[in-house]
Amino acid sequence: MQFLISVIILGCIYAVLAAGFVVIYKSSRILNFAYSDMAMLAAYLAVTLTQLLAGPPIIALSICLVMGFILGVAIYALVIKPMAGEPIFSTIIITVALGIVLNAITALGWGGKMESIPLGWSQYYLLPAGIRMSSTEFIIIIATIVFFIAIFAFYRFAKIGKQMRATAENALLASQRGINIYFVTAFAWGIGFFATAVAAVLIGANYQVSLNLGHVAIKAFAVALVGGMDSVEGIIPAAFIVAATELIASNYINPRLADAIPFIIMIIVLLFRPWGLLGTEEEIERV
Amino acid sequence: MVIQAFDTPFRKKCVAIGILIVILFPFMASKYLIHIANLFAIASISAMALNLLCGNAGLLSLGHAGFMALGAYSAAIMGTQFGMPFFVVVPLTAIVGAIWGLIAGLPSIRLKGMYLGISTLGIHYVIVYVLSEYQFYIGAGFGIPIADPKIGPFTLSNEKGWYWVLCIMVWMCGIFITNVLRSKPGRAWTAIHNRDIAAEIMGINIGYYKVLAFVLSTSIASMAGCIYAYYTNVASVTEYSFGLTISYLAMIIVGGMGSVLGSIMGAFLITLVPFGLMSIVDMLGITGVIKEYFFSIQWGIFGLIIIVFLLVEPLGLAEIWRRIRAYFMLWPFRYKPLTITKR
Repeated sequence: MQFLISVIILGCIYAVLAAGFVVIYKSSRILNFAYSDMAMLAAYLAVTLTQLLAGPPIIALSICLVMGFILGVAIYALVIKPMAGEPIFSTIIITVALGIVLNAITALGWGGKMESIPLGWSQYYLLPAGIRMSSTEFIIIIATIVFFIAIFAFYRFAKIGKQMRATAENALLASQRGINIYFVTAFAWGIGFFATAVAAVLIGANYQVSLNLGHVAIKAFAVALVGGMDSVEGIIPAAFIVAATELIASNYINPRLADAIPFIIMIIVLLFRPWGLLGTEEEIERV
Repeated sequence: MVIQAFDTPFRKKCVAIGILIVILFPFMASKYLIHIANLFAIASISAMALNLLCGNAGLLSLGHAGFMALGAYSAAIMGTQFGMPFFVVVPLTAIVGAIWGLIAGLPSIRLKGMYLGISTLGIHYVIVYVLSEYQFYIGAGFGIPIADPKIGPFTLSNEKGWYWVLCIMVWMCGIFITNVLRSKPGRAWTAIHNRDIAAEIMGINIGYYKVLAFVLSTSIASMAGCIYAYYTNVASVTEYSFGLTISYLAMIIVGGMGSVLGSIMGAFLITLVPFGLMSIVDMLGITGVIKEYFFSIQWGIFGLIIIVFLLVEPLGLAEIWRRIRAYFMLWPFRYKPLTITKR
């Protein structure tokens, strides 16, 4: 049972991480490799903000999330938009380079100290059947549920969410109908980085904020691909599949397998169902 | 028929000066500089291999470091564990690399673009995992030691000896890859890169040529990895991280995609950046945070270089070089004459 809880926690974290990834991919068709480094930067930002601002940590953390959003928009406007029309290779590499720069900024600014993010509520609870759960784990589960409901509602009901779906479907037609594609895509980048910041805060609260945080975040690629790069719904089953297999492998077979398992699953999925569990089939570029 | 390298007096002089510099360099330079030159030579072999795959065939590979690690470990296993001689090990690592290239290339038949990049990234992680398991299994914590290679009666142990061997290797690799690019496979790759459907209609077997590009590139890459392992006398899995792949991608982007000369120039710049920064930091006597996190700064500058090149000059140093050459050839005019009689 305890094992199941840890699977759920890891699955939640992977799901939120992958959500940011998928939102960005869905509307701009760019694999954002700056992702793991952004998560690290956001986690350190959260640490500093909670230390600077007195009062309940929720204020500092919300400021951190908003800053993540603004950073996403700024990165889109400064680096990604000028790359429009370049081959896919260049756009991928530019996000990788961006990640390196963000990583360097984080290492310089915070010096790679180990920190943790206080959520202002730390307690252990003994549930029936001998399960131990910490308050942080409750918060992770609640935050994930809230986040996913919010993002589904956003895509379903908000005007800009609808525009985002339209742009993802067919950018040319959407622009003909008067949708400002650049604004919509910038907004998507903002949401993507916002999601990264959420995930980073959750990771930082549950585990630790260090320069290794990126290693957790990089597995979000695998999750996003297993679920389908352009499907927000696909993330949820994918995240739990990846988390479960990873924990099973690392608990019962070999702890060092933990880093390789998500990618092994990913390769298997890519071989048999390249568009992912719930992705769009025509999505994939094939020969 | 004119040999292209010697077709004008100016070119003759340039080539002569270049060869003279290459020959005289080890006699003038210090051991440290020769060491940097050797690293640059190995990097340029590997960068040429990656450029063949990414620049010419247009297949994104993020598993380059994994393939180099494969070569290094093949060298360690065959050279140290089985005691095979150097000149047997090097071709064998190329064959091992080719087999893995076949495996890595198979997804390229079905996948394209970034999906292919991700699948090669997955292969990188699998290779690195298997190798670290192996390293752990035989109990070599910091890597498997490799003895200096023996070629006949000589032992390659000092930098100067390596310099000559590597010079010949870079030259041979450059000639080989240029020749391949100018013959049928190279044309096929260019066609596939430009528009794959059109290439298929022209009768090019796309799957075959894509896998061929992978096989060739990984075999050269693993050969470079093998040579690097011999040069540093150790095969350690920590060295072949994803970061290494990034720095090779940086080389071909900065140098120029799809150009052999570009790979060499990119390898030169990217190999020199850390050493240059190091000497600047030493010269200015900077201490404190900057010195402490020197590695991160170096990486940050890497990233900035890549971003600037991609935004400002996507075709890289090779394009700048071409423009400079054109400028001097046409000087004092700006444009070519309308009738061109001589190439």
